[in-house]
Amino acid sequence: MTHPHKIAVENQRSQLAALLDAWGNGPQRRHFCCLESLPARSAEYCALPAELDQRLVEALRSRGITQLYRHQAEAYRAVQAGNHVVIATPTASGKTLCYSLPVFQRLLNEPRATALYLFPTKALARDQVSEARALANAALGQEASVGQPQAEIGVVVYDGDTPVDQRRVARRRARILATNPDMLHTGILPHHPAWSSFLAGLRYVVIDELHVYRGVFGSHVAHVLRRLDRIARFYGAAPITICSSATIANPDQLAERLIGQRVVCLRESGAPSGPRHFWVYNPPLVDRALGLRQNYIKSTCELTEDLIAAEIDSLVFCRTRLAVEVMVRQLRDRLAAALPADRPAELVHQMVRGYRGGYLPARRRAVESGLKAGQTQAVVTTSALELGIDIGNIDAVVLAGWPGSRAAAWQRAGRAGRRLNPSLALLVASSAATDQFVAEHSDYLFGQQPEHARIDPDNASILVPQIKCAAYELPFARQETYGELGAEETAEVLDCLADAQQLHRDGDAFHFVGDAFPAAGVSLRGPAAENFLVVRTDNDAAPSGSQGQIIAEVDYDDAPQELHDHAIYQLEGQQFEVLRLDHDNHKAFVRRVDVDYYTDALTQTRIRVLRTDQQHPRTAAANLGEIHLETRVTGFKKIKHHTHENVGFGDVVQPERQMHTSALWVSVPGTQVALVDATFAEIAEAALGMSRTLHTAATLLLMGDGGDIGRAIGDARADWFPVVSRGQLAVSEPLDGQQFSPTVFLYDRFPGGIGLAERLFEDRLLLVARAKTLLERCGCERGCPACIGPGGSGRAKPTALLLLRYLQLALAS
Amino acid sequence: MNVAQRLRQHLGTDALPSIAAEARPLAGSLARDHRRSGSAERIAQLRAAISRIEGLRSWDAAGTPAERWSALPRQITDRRWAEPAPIDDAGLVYRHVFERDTRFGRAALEAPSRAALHAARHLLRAKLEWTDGDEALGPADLLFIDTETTGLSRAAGTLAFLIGIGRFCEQGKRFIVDQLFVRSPQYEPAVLDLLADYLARAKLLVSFNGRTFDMPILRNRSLIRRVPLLLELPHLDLLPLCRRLLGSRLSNCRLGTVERELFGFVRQDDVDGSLAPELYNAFLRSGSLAGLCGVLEHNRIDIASMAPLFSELVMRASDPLQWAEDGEELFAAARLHLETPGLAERCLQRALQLWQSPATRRKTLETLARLRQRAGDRGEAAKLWHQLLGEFPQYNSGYIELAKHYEHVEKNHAVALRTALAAPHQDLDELPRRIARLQRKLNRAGAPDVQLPAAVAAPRSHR
Repeated sequence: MTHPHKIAVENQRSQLAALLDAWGNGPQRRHFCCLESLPARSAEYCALPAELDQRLVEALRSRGITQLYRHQAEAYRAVQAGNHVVIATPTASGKTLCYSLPVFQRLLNEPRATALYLFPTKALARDQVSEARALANAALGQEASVGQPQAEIGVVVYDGDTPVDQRRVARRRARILATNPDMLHTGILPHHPAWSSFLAGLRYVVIDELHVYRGVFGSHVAHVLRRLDRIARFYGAAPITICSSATIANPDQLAERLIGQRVVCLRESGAPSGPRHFWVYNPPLVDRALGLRQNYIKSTCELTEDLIAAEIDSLVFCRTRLAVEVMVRQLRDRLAAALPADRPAELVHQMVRGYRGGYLPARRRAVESGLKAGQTQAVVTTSALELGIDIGNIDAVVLAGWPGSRAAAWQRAGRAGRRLNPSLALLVASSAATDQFVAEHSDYLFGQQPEHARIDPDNASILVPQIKCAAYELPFARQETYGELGAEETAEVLDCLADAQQLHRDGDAFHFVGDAFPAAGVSLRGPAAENFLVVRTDNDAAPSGSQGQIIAEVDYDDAPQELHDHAIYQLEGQQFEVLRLDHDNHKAFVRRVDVDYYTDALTQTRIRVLRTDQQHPRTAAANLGEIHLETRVTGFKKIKHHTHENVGFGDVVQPERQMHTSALWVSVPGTQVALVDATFAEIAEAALGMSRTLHTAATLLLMGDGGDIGRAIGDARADWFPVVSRGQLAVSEPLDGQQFSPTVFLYDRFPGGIGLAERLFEDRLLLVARAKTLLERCGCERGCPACIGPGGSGRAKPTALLLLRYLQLALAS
Repeated sequence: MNVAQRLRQHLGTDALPSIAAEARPLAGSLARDHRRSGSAERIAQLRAAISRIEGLRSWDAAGTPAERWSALPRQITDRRWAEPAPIDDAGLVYRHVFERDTRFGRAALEAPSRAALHAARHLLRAKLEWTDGDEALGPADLLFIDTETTGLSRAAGTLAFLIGIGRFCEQGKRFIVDQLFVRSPQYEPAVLDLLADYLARAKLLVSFNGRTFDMPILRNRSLIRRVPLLLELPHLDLLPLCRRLLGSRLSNCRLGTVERELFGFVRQDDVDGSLAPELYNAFLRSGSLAGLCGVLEHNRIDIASMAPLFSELVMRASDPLQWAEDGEELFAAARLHLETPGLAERCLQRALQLWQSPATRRKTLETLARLRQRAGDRGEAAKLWHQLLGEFPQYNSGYIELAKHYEHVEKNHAVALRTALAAPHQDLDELPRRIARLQRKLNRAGAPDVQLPAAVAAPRSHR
């Protein structure tokens, strides 16, 4: 929301220019490549709308805002004209003002008007309301001195953390309510009578971070928004929706499906920006024969050190938490070594901070304030900082490794650029094949659109429970419409559910009659398992000698890989050895150690078919059924710091993670595979590549999110499953004397299944045909992120294509 | 393919008209389902698809009507229920008249006495619910209410399908229970309209747990069906009163338990209220009232037995010295009369002479001490605190109150300090600050440092 002040930071400008000059002409110049240099863009301003409430004008002025960027003015006008609006301008272009302007204008002039702000996470809601509160205080503070009676504008966070005794107050006071979709789904909509006055006044629904709502999660949220709309209409309100989105290919399309209404989309930013540079650094080859490059973390450290030396504030994005820890430690080691002996080591600690999910809130806040205060020069982080948590912008963003998608790369790069200063986004390629591909194909990042975000609210497994939630909240009338569904279609769906006794049809209405509370049984994000706690138990940790000290949290999904017995868990550069992983209580007990290696887990996924429901006629090349999935960490590698050599293995005995779900599996007939001139390992590698292609095709076909579908490979009959480490085939022992029939499993990553595999089976011919086309048309030579994944041997791509052809043949018969 | 088509395909069929007939065999319309072959198979698929979506086996999957019937609890299936007849044309109201001498164990169903009605008004005034204090309250002004619902959640979708209303008529000669029955969701607005008439004629609502359960649900439904209801009447909820007065004596405070343990009344073949949602669902599908007769009876008795319970509880609450049976109840009743300190203190004094649990005895002494304090009788209050600490030497707050007494009333800082130091938990409350302040005052006065915890026993000497 802050407007640029023309502060000349000549010093800063020349620092970055000088550094880029040094890099571009120095001994390493061959390894740098400039992908794109965007010239500075001047701001396009518009005057504040004339009709804007004087109190709001003053409040904005007190915060340094006297005019608007063009897109902010356009958003305001579009909203005033009654349109639903999506703002999809780049990071840090002042999107918040796009919605707070119309919201405050209305709330100041209509005492009963209210607005709902929807954020994907609790942390984000809490971060963002402080801004709304400040604006409310600024606007109403002056007004109080004028002495007019005026309803206050209560800005309230209502989520699972809101204490029960404060909820009643929240319901009464809220005029701007900040919450998340999950709370809306279970805590607000089913209890709408308690919210009747808030809902009757609802004028605006603000959806921040729209692009997060994709796949199954987004499809569920689409229904939650339809239910909100129904209830708002019941209370006589017809709210306007304002969405803000990161750069994705289809913000308008996503918003339209999400809210079931036409939207106006604004993509052109009127915010100014300094010149932006996007560079890639591909680390030097250290072993030409093996194609090994210098470790990218080491390279990132060196380059970040250059940035620190040039006094350029930097944000380093890593792909994993582990990488954050390794990098923080190495950066500090290097800086400490360069530090004059009389300077305190604490200084280095302040200069480089780690920041990632799993840090307890106090630690995160310390990092944020250090950065704002200027003691911190480099923050190493994961995607924790990707969603708009505001730490201000930075001069340089370093991406340590490819973040996985163009949209994510742009979002992170958008963090660079303060006012009109020049800024840098630097991608350091790892040896991983995807990274090498991006480094070598400079048009991949800028030549194409960012990824699409898709949802499918019509998925029956989502539609059925959601319609029941809606009927629970208010009975359906026969002539009612629902989202994109017209009256006739809605009635047909309702009839269908009534016939199946899910709803009670009564005259011209449909009622939910049951003692269950349907929203309680529907989780928007799939089963959310509790995080694991990392508990330090060595003597100096807990002075009272009690149960130990909790030092961090780890996601349920990551816990087996990060916290297995003897794993080295790293926290801001300190190392802890896991003594014992307590699965039942979600705790890992660790002790402080000082070793020169870290660990990489080896994982194996085994699948047991429990029941085959449907089978492709005769050839059985495609099947639909229920599977039992077991994922287990079987061992780990010890990797030496700095040199990254493998210094040992360890075995792990760990209970497996199990899931019972529905899956589609396709098998290439063994008789045909036998004709392929390739070793077993090559075929296994090609099968893994083929699974990736099929997964991509499936995601497109289902209009879903890649994360909703899991994939694994095995053999059709034999009990063979590969061991994988970081997405690559790690161990593949051949099958003894048996014909190998490579099989790809695509499964719903929701226990019990959510109907995705079922639709894949229905469309299996299309799925395989699309995967084949995708692979054939892909211009890469040896595999790339868009097809089979990079990094394979030269034979992987043609072999994978051959396997797909055989598969198509088997399905054609 | 549109959504509905896809949904039908998903549910395993595109022949729903026949499915509809088959899936609701109780409706009796079996004519349509033979037009297509293999419908049974499709039905099975449909059910499988739904039960997979639901993740649980629905009650409907339990088979034929006969099988379902036999799956119900014995007390419903074994009994021959006489189906009641509604008294109105719309078929929404069932009426049952209880004669005056109907007995619930030791209790008789008779109109509350003037004393009881007076007591009720007194209780409500104390809670600021009754402002027009002079208005007389007759038996006919009471409206006893209890609902049966489709669930225990207080969220929007819980339907009160049966609203039972009890009134005394003909100068208390009869007790009439009218049961408003939502015989299908479309009749809910009509039922709520009827309820509005009853409410308009009442001055006081009496319920058992109605304040936190039945009323919020009715309020929700009134809003959702857009039928205005006058729900803000004065309301006496018997559950909290019962829990307070008799909670320590009863095994639990469910209405059935209260009837049994207070009146010696044991219900015969009572249908558990928790079955109501399932039975109502079965009724909606079958149209047969048989399964619900037990629920109607359960609701009727709930309401009728509330009448004697009302008299019993308000009398116990208003005149505890006469009615209370033990020190527990006397203490609880005294707390209802804190605004009438004379009565409260008499109750508490009496309570100390009767049986009490140690915890209640401690609270009784403390309440008495505080009431004396409030009355300005600090000497007596101090005596009571000493008595309390003599019996309960671990009670920290007692030492603090006594220390305050010595510091501020008697101005004896040395004893005050000794008392404060005797408290078992030195780090709690404001004790550390109090002790430091007393030390300072003593030092200023030139007195020697008081010996630390050695002098602990001081307060007990007063015993």
